[in-house]
Amino acid sequence: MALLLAAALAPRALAQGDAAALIGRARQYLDEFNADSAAALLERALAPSSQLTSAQRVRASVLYGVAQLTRGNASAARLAFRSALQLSPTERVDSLAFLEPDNLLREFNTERAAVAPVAAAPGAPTATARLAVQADFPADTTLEVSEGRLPITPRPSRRADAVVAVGPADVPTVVLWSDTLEAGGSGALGWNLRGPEGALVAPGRYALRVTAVDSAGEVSATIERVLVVSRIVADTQPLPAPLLPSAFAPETLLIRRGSPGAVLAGAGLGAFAALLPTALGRTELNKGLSGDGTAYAVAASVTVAGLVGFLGGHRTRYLPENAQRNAELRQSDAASRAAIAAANAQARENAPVRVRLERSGP
Amino acid sequence: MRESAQRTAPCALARVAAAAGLIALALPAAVHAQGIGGTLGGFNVQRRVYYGAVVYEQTGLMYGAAGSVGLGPVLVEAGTLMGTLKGDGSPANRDADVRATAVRIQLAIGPWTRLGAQVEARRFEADAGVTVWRMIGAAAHVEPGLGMAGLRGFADVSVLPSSSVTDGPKLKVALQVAAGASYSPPRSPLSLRLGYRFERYDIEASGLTGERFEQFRGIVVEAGIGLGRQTGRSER
Repeated sequence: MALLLAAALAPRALAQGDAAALIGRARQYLDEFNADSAAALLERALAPSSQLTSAQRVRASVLYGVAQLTRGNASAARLAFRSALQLSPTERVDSLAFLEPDNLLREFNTERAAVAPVAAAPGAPTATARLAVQADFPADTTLEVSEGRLPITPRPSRRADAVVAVGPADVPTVVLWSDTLEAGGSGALGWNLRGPEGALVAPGRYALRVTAVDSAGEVSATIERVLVVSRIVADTQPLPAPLLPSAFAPETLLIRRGSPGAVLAGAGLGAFAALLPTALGRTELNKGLSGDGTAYAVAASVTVAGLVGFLGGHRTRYLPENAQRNAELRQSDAASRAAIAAANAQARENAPVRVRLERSGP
Repeated sequence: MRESAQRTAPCALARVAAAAGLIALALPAAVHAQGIGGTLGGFNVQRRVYYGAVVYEQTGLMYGAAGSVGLGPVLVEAGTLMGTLKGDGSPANRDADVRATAVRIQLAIGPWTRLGAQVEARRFEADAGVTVWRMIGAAAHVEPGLGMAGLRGFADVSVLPSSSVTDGPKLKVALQVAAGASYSPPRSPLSLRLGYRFERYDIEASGLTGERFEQFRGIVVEAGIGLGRQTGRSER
């Protein structure tokens, strides 16, 4: 129901009143342990086009983090908490702890520590440089669907964990994939171009976000790059042209003579007409009469008609061997087309994926 | 005889009217029928009557029209034929006006074979009075192709055992047979038909009157038009 509601509200930007209603409804879903529906509503509320007040955005981000924690997506939860804390560093979630008693306070306070400025210990030397992070990845590459991975190499400015996350560029709160390169680790993380459910992501724009967190809890600024994912046009085979009529053998043979039965039928009907008066008439009525000339005239006409039909007519003879051969040709053609269509579908499904960095300027 | 005929005339008219009504009722169905047709034709009749050991002969041209409606395998035909048969002018062999009205319902049982029933009323009007025959029986029709598109032979046989003269004796034998050929030019709704028709009627003796035998025979020529598929005809 909530998903339907969210879908119904999707096409238009949310006004503040609508957003407040969505946030309130999402809160009710969390009370009812319906985290999926709550997350769906909050994603709409947090969309960039929503006209939220700062307080509403903080509230929605906290609740979204709670929903993601309940769904087991800690990375997304931390991002949401961080968004809330950046807007309201003193935000507290104690009143919501009952919703996720195991993790909520710990995760939230971890993010609070990460967002809050690090207090310098008395007498300690002041940090000379803030933690920063860079990431290396191919600016334009083509990957195979089955085993391809986009290599992403985070480079913190000093020893720190590096968190890499990918999500739709227009929905910052959604994380499709994330991974962490532990402090001191080397090498690259690899995004397999798939979402949390294992399906290949659709062509489109995706945001790559990289953040570093050192052991003291200092968090770097998040760098964000937009990746454009597209499919390479598959190399498909053209379907053969439809079979021409000339490819088929004639299934009937035209014989330029009517059936001999026509002669027999004409003669038979003629004889029948000629014999009618004699065969069916009473002797009392026909005694002394010669035959009926009109009957003979009709009999002759019908007999001649039978002859004309035989000589001037034509008939067809069915050729079963040709029909069989044509049927086999049609079957073969259909099978060939089906095989090509299947191969093309397979080629399109396995078409490589191109990933390129979207440049912000010319 | 005349009184009897006068009594039966309204009945015959009623039957003709009923047949016409049946045709009228069938007309709306013709809109959805697979085929409808109509013919105009003539029957050059020689009528011979044997009565009291004497043979009387009348001749004349009967003309008429018929219509048909094909509904799936069923063909309903109705037609009328009328004309004056001229005798020799003697008191015993006066001219007679004859009108025959028939309705036939047939079912196609093969590509060129139909079987069905026929009801016919035949009215004779002469100076001596009016006589009406009522005939009911079975009808069969075969129409084999003759090898060329549109060229067909035909034979019609009607055996009408439930027949009688109105308020008169039964007809011991009532038989109508025709044979001939027809031609419909390809892709044309028109058709021509030439045939030879022979009819035999044996009327049993009644009271003081003896047996009476009649036969009608002659050439039949018809021209027709058919729209849609004609029931019981195979396409060639």
